[in-house]
Amino acid sequence: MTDVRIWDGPSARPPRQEPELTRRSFLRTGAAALGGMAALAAALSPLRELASDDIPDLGQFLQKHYKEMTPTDMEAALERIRRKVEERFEVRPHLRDIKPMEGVEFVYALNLSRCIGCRKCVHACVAENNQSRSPEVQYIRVIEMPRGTLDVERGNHHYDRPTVPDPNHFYLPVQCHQCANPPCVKVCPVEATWQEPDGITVIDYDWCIGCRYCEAACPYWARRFNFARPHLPKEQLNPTMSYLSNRPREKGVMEKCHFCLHRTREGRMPACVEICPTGARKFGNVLDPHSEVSQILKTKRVFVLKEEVGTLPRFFYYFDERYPNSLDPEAVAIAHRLKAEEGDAYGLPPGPDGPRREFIAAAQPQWWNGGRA
Amino acid sequence: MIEGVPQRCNGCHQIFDSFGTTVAARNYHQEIRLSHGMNDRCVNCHSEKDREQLELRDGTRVPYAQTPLLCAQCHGTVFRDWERGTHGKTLGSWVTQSEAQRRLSCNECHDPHSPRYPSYEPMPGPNTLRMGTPLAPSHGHSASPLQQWFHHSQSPTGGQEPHHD
Repeated sequence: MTDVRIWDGPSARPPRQEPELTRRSFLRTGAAALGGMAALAAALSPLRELASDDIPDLGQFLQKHYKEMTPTDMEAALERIRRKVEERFEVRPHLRDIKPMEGVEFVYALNLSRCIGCRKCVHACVAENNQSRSPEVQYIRVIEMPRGTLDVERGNHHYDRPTVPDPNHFYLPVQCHQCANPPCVKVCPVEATWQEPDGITVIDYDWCIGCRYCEAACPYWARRFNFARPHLPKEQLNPTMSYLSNRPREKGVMEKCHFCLHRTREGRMPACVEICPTGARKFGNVLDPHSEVSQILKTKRVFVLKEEVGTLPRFFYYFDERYPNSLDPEAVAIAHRLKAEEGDAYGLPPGPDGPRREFIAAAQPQWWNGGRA
Repeated sequence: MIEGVPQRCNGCHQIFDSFGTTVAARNYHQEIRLSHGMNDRCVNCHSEKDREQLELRDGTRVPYAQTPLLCAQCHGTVFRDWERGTHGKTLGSWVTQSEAQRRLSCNECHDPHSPRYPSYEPMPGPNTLRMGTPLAPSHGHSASPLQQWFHHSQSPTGGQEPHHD
């Protein structure tokens, strides 16, 4: 008989000796278990700070990407948002999903000769677009810079004067430039931001994961992050809103200027254009050759910020030529000669004849036809 | 009759002629502050014969609604830009053919008697230190939320923190 050794398993080993349950080991194990539970509770504690409407319901959780939503899906999403807004602000919002118009590409132009730095656009934008009042979120920055420079890095956001404009400074408002080659769209890992056919780069606030890559990618610092839950007093809510623009945002999502698309896609002007007291802000369809922005691009020397980074902004700046002191130097010289020759201005004879006529004629450019077509 | 003006200009002016065409008003039009550079006489713009109309330099009378034609005589480059839409303010709609679009006329922004655009008190600046620290104001009153916070936080009641985001 061969010696067959049969492995008979671990049971063949001598039985492991159970540790003796002492008072000391009992306390040690108990303390470790308690510590573990405390750590788990600490890890879950941010969940406790969530308000009930912060937690996504099933509909929001299963919502598809904006571009994959059918009209029925979209209506369900809109209804869900309406319900949430009503719960939070006690107002039934007029919420829609407004699509781009055919044959329209929006362009913005800003006349730096006219901007007086009154910051009305900043606050009109905040009121129109339901931005957080605290912590403060503003889409438009107005930078005060010394005349003769264009160094944004040395500009002053916090200028604090009794009145504006200051004669030694000029004012440069900056907001989203709606680039034709937008770096913010390229870096988004989840395609929560994209460029629409009318040139507006939009954000789906339900799809954004808050990674802030786009904020870092934007060379104009146009994107804003909601670090805290946006605070907006109920009575200050603008109830006219759309899905991709000014509906209330949540904590942890990006937002930015969208050319007030809920207004502009219905033919109206953005809030910042409407409020501007000097008409420095111009907005329109660049595909329409008669629009104001087309005329500006055709006849003014426009420039963009950071042209060298290749973002192709749709936001143009320009200065006027010599006016407001636009009278021809020759005309001014004649007027001074007339004053010197004839005493004060009251001495000049009225009417079309006389020396005034010479002055008026000189004040007009060569091509001028007297204002009549 | 001028739109928006309750009185008829010619009602008075057919009885009382002006005290000459070259002197400033003494009684009635006291509220008018004339500060239009070298253009410093009433009848340069107003018709002497018909006070409810304006008069161009060639004697053509135009109604008040066509003020830009009058201004255009001297401010040709601005009028050219206004016609193109590159100067002035447009309200209502960006659609060129829209009836909602309204382009403001010269005198709706500028006081024709004193056309220099007035200064404004600026609205409050940003309330975040992320755009740099504000300089201390050189004047007494400050509209900056950060400056107000700073002064308020020096007081015993203390202030609310500005946002550092």
